[in-house]
Amino acid sequence: MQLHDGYERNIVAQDHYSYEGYEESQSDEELITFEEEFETPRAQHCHIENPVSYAYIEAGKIVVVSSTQIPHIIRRIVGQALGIHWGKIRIIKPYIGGGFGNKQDALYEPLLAYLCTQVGGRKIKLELTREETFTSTRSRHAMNFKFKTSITKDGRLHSRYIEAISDQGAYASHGHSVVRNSVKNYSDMYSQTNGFKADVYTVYTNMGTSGAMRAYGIPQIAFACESHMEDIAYKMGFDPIEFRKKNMMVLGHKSKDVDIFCYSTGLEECIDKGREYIKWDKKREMYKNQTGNIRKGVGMSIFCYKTGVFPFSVEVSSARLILNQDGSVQLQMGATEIGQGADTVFSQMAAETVGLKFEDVHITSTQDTDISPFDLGAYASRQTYVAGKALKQTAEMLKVRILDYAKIILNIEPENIDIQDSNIVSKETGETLMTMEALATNAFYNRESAVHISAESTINCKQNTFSFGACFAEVSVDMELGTIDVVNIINVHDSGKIINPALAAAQVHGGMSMGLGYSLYEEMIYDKKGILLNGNLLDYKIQTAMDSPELIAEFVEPYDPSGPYGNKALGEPPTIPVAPSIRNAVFNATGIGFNSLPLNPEKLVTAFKKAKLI
Amino acid sequence: MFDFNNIYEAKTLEDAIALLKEHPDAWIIAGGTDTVIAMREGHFAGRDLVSINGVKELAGISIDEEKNIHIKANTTFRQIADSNIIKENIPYFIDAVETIGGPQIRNAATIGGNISNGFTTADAPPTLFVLDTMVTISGPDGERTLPIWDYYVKSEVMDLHMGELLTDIIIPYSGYNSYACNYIKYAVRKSLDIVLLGCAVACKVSEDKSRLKEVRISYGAAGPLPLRARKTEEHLKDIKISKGIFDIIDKYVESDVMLRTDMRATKEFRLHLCKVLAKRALKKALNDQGVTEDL
Repeated sequence: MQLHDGYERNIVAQDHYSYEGYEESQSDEELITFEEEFETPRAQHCHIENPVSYAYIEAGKIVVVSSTQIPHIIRRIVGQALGIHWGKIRIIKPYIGGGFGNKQDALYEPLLAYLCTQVGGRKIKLELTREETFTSTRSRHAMNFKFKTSITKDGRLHSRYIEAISDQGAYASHGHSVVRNSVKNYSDMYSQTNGFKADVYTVYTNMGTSGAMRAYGIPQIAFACESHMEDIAYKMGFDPIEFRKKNMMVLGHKSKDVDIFCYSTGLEECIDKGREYIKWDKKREMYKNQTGNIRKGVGMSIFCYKTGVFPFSVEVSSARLILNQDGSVQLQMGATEIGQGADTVFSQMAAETVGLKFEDVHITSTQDTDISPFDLGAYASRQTYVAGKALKQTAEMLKVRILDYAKIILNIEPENIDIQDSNIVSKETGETLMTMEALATNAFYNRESAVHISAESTINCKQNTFSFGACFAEVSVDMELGTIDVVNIINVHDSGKIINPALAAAQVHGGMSMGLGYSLYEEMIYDKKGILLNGNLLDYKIQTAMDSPELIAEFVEPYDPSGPYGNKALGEPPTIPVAPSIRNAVFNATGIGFNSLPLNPEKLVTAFKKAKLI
Repeated sequence: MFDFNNIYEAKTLEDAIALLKEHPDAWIIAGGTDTVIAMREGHFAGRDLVSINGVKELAGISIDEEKNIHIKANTTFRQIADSNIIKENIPYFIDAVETIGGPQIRNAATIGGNISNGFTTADAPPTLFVLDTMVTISGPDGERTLPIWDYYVKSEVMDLHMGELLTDIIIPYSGYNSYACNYIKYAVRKSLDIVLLGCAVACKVSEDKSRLKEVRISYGAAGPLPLRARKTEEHLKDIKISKGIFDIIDKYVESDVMLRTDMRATKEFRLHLCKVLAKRALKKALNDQGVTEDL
């Protein structure tokens, strides 16, 4: 049955391509070829705050207050949907309770904007229940992958073929760009391959709509890719870590056809750190040839993740800094805080680059499209990198203006003075020449020289760099019950220089937690008519605190030359490597490699019975 | 706001019976942990509620001269877990009720509600079934006492006539004396979850620990109602303790249960769990009885 006019076989979009060298690699007789298939389920974000927004008309403008990650984009979409000038629409994003990509979409804002025009501009509010959020917002795409991979006898990847099919659900939303991202990532992760060929499809189905969700297609492909690598290593008798190291992306890699570079990599260090933490070598030895009902194992996986969306989409961001009378500054960003800690990190950046105390930076957390400078929003782990560049540039401009003004009062050339800890100091002696407060008060009220010092600038970021990481997991499997106890798990990340270690660790803990749910429990179950059967938090399982192991987050910190402060993507990556690591640990424990998620008890018991393990 | 017609708050048992007679369509609310969820889903739209939450005489735990344990219907699971009477006589029942929901739910949820909802997935009934528990129903015509399994008519339907309510849960001395008991809740999560399968096993052994005198097995979620595995129990009566007792469970359990496939699990997986859980629960109970043989 065709669901939408003009979309034959329900294909939303498709790509077919191969890189040079693929065809001839097939005829080489010295190669060993592996074929495998993998499946990943639909999962949902489960942000605490369900989508909620309200709209009203004030002074001839439609105002929509919304729990969104992307206020400026929402303004455009509301304008386009209603056919009115975008300037007559104002979107306000207050503090919100998480998004994870579900709110990187126009969910109900255009509808509310329209409805409020039908009731004379009175307030209209729509707050979804959890059940409505499940059925009627977005989910992670379920994907199926088929691999055909040839390697040389000494363990070099020679050529790889991938067929990927992504289940879009009923409407397009982010559509084909998600699985396209998955396949691109598959190509980049093990970049030292001769040939690469891909057939990639996104298809409409009669289920809920899939959209953006933390790490945009990469948890799916990482599960498949890292399971596949594990299986090849096992069959060939290779050490799975050495096999990966031999083939993974190296410094200087350029992504095929696009300007995404490996400007820095700490991947090898991530692997070594995780390996040591989990006592890999000792445990791989210890867990050989187990029998009995409880079996233990260790597994690992690696990933890469680009930073932002350049060059696939525009990467523009802006920042504004305004001096206050007391020498503190107002910081206004278009980039949005959605619980990840962006505001804190931006305040740190402004303080460091201008030379202020942290508490002298007052950030406006609310984005208001009438007031906030332009930015595309919180997604793609982009803000600390892209908006960070805009902010650094703006802070440098403000600093120059402050020092120029200091010259008027102090009569010292700007190159000889600096701002440190909210004071104007001599570069030569370090002595405090005047406080920022004194300077600011003078700048506001001096009858001769009064000027409001401020800076605003925008950046069109044309760089993109890879961040990396590895996850090591240790599991204990109850064979009869099919339960997996994750007894030990660590994520080691290379996200370049870490700006705020506490927030970064929190981000990793949250991402690992999401990855654990994806590994063990989460799956949206539909019947044949497309009715969601488990659209509530009792039947759609995410783990409780009682089910969570201690989550260990570690970092290696190579300074990335392309990042504003040496930093690269971190927001989404922590969720990526958990599922393949647990899957590989279960493989190590039981000898059974599962090629679909979640790793639920019934699936395990069925497989163990089939293999006559129980 | 939830959709219901009116709520009447009983102060005494007499009051509650009168209110239930006056409002024959009314639903009884006690701790509210299941009822409020059902109300949110619109199940009591337009209906009256009679709250027995404030009826003091319906709460509390006591032990009578014959050492029968009485748990009043309004007793919360927190109170059960904190009770010295329970701790001293049937400590395993605390382990069972502590699998229910989470701490907040156990603070409010009552044992009477856990039974009277008539859910096969409830966590307290399997243990009560293997302890040969009796229940007392009070109503306009006085009291009547019946075995807990007779109180269940069908899923979510209890043997209650107009004006009647469950008031007392009686665990008879003969039901628990010299038995060891163990309940295993099998759920996806360790907390805040509904059972895929619940299994309680009670057993009594000979003094020299060599023979099984009696085994009682009960399941939750293995049929439309909580049930006793009577056929299996028959085969486990007065036999020598050996590895063979577990084969009996494997062999006969299927004939005792009425399994189905749903979104949470298939019939086949549930049968597998019926066997594994009963064997594990029995093993643990035997261990608690001092059976040291390697089984």
